[in-house]
Amino acid sequence: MSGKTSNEQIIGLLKGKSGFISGEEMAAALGISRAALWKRISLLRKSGYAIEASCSRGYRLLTSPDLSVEEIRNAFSPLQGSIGREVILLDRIDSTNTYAMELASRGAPEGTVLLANEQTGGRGRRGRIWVSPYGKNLYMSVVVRPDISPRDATVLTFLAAAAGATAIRALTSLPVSIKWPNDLLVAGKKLSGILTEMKADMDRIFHAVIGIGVNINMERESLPEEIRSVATSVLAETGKIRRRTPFAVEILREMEKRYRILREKGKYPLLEEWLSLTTTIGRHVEVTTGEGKITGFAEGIDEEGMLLLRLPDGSLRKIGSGDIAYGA
Amino acid sequence: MELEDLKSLMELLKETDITELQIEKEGTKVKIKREKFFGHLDVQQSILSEKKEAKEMKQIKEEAAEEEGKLFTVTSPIVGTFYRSPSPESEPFVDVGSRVRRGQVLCIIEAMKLMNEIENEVDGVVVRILVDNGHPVEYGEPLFLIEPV
Repeated sequence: MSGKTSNEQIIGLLKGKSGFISGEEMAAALGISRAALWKRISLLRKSGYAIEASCSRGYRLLTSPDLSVEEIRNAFSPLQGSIGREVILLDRIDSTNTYAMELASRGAPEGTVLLANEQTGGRGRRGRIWVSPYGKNLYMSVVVRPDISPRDATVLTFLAAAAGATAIRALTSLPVSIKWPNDLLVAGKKLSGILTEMKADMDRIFHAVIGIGVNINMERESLPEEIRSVATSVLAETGKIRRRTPFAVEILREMEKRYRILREKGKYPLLEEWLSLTTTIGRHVEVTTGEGKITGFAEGIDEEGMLLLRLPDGSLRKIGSGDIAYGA
Repeated sequence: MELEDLKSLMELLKETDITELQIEKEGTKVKIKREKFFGHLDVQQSILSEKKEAKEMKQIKEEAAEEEGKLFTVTSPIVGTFYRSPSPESEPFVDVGSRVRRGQVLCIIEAMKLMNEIENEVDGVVVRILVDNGHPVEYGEPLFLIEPV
């Protein structure tokens, strides 16, 4: 049933008209009976669309759910590029990354996008919790299978950060910057986090999942106390509630652009762009690593993206993982 | 430990790159040190205990098996940080002695918030974990020795 007459086509038809569109016209355009169309409309209503029906005039779209899988699918042609060729929206899942990794290992095609309205076990680096209340924020994971060496895979986290920063800047006009390697900050507070997971052996990447969480409509007061001083949301920064769909669409578009650059020109243009968006380089930072805290001057990144930290004794240290805090 | 065993142990070591081997168990301490460039063997054996023989021989067998390529070595595909558990609070994925199946996750290597779950490639038993939790690893660095079963 989900074959030819897709929900996306119905939403597309309804959106194409500002007023009513007759059931007859829609049924003809879709090649289905009016009874079948009615069933379809009922299902769409259940997934959050407010559709008015009138015997004499037909159907009219009043409001769409703020995270609409049909709108996201309509934004990406399955033929166009790779990212967004398949979009799945779940109401509730433990973690979009965990599930996307499962789907990927069962053969989900490259570019599969997984979204959820709520994560019950949203997570960040090293098992940390990512606060994921129902319907407030964006929780999205993308399956990729880049044909690059596992040694170059870290570019994926830089690509995702640049895509997220660019998309959120465009949508909100907020001065989003990147903290090494890929936290998105506004006024020094975290707006978005990215976690990439990968299955690879020495020779090749089997699959990777890029997960991004963006705090959109979470009120400042509802941010858990322990992260209130370090986290923020689009609502907290702008005072405006926003639909989540444009965030999903724009971030995916920006990822798609950069993924193409990676395929065509390699990783260097992406690392250069990242450098133009980061606030970490050129300042004194404190890094908490598995082996303790170190402070130093962030001089740059190497070609794998490792942070080059100049220590007080003048030596240069390469950092591959750790939490960065900006000095006063 | 018999003199014959010691001799064969020393012979085995000669054929490997191992420069120092220390076996310590309830009162028995065997330390064999070989200077890399001079091939000099320095053997210290303090107290002898028959009971430890089996255990020691097992380790020797491991070395020998590794040398003959019987043990499967799991290596790191990226430069990063080695983690034995999914989070600092949770149990390690595997320990020495764990039975492991093909496809089972053995550890995570992190680089720039890219988490790489390293999967086991052979059914077997973990005989050695070569890196400490939280330590950096290089590209191609051996992480685990698995004895196939």
